[in-house]
Amino acid sequence: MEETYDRNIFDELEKVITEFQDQLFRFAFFRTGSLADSQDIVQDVFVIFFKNQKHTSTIHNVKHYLFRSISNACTDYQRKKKNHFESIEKISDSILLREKDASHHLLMIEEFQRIENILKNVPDEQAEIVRLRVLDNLSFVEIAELLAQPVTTVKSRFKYGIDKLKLVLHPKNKLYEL
Amino acid sequence: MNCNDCKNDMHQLFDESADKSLIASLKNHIEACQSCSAEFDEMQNVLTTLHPKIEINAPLLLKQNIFNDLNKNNINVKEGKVKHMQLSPFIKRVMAVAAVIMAIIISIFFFDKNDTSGNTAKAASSFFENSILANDLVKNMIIKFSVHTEPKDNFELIGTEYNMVEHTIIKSFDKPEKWRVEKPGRIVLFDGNNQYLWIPEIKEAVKGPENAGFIDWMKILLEPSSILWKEEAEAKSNSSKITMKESQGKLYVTITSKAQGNFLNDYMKNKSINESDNRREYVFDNKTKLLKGLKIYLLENKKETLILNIENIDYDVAIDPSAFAITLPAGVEWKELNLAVTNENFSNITSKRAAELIFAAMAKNDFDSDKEVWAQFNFVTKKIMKSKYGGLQLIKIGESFKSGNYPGEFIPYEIKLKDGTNRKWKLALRNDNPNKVWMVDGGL
Repeated sequence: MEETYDRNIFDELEKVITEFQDQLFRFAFFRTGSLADSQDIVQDVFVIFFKNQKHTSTIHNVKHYLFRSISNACTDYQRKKKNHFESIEKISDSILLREKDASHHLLMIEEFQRIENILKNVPDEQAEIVRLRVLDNLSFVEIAELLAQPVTTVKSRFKYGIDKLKLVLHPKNKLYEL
Repeated sequence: MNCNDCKNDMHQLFDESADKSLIASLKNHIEACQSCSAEFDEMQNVLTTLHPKIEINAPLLLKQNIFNDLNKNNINVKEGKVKHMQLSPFIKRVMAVAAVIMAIIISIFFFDKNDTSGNTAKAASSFFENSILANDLVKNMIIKFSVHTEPKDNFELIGTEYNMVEHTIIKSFDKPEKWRVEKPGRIVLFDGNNQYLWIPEIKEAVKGPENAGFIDWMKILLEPSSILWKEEAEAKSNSSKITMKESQGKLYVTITSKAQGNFLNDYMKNKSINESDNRREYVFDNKTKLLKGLKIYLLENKKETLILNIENIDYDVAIDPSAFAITLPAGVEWKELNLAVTNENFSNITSKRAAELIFAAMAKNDFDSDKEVWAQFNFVTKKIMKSKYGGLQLIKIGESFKSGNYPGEFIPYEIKLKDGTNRKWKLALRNDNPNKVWMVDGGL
């Protein structure tokens, strides 16, 4: 069925996309490891956001709404996908890596692999908070809202995660600690 | 603050909302304590290591895809009869840029890998669709360019022996799309429904269908954002080479291709872009990524000649609506291009036989008995033909041949005109019309 929207809503959507598309894409990419899937996820989130605008005209905190949506979409994506992350060999079969001229895409995937290889050394709940703080640049308060956890818990998990990563990245410390 | 407290709370330094007095205490302690300072450095190193070494941003097409998606869902802007979304100039520019970039990337990939199967082809197809969509996003453009050609002859003709002739393309992308291609001796205009060819000197005014071939190869310039898609399609079957480089704020895409067509007889070699060995150098503005220039070099016996040169393209500039209309002089009317003629005398015969019949008729000054043969000539041009060729004497006629991409055939001839001069040339006849009637197409 055809729907008609006020022009202002499109203008608003354009502003919102411009402001948040990079952050949301990065969020999705570091949860899926797939450029194409990340694009699809972000696209879907914005389309749903736009449709909801008509019915829920007041979204108090757009950033929170969008991050919550993208987070849920990524969780759904991971649930549906048996293999949480594609191996580099598997990714190499995909179109994006076969575009050898699009070397930036390849570098993005390599960066994803590098960072995930580091984060896999800490428990998931700590790794996710490190991602949210370091990669998504969310404040601890925003992370707490997003995960519906107390700020103190978020900070603690961040600290424990970083402490473990210090040991991983600096083995001398590990020996010393032991 | 002691070392234990500092190490326990050190992560607070990465929280903008942390208590300011706590932050001050932590900083003071770290400055004074070597051990905690080293600890802090390690923490920072971890965060630096976790930070991506390259920018990871949304693809340029993302915004366009979102709007496309909304469009597919029948979501429209409430604004009069407008059914599609009206996007801001910024988004339009972003989309056009994205389309061009992706077209380049995919084109190069195609040529490098020569792989058109599976996901790649599917994705490429999707990118090319976006590229085509981008045409809707530029409102209008004016292209100024020069070609080594004859001012009055068709737009396809090129040749190093001709001077550079200035051309202008004006295109409006608003629906219905309209365009005008002009050189000093010839204008072709599309008003959204029909193509119109106007040759002022001989008062030739022809109205053709939407797909009439009045501008031939130049059609590609009417849709700059899909040039690479079309070049890709063209090149895939012709083993063209494509390269891309960036330099001084410009993006250069170069395509080197061989002449297309049948050159057992090379009469048509190098008479059009497609029928020449050439190198096409497209220039895109690196900032806007829009097409800004094109140079086409004719490659002939290790010599290269600049045969077509786009000096400038202006996008979204004011265009006088009268550019998309031609006012004919009094007494001249548009003549419908009707190729569905019938003439049994000139169908089911060879082109050589048709030429013999045509020269025989001209010898008798008879241009009317088989007027269908002259269907492409108007009253004025037929009058010129009669005065020049009426009463001629056929001296010799040769065997017909095909050359290049020309759909018809060429018949060499030698005639003696009534003023006593001899003329040796090649008559061009074509019968690619519904009833296969041979018609005079040129060569007189």
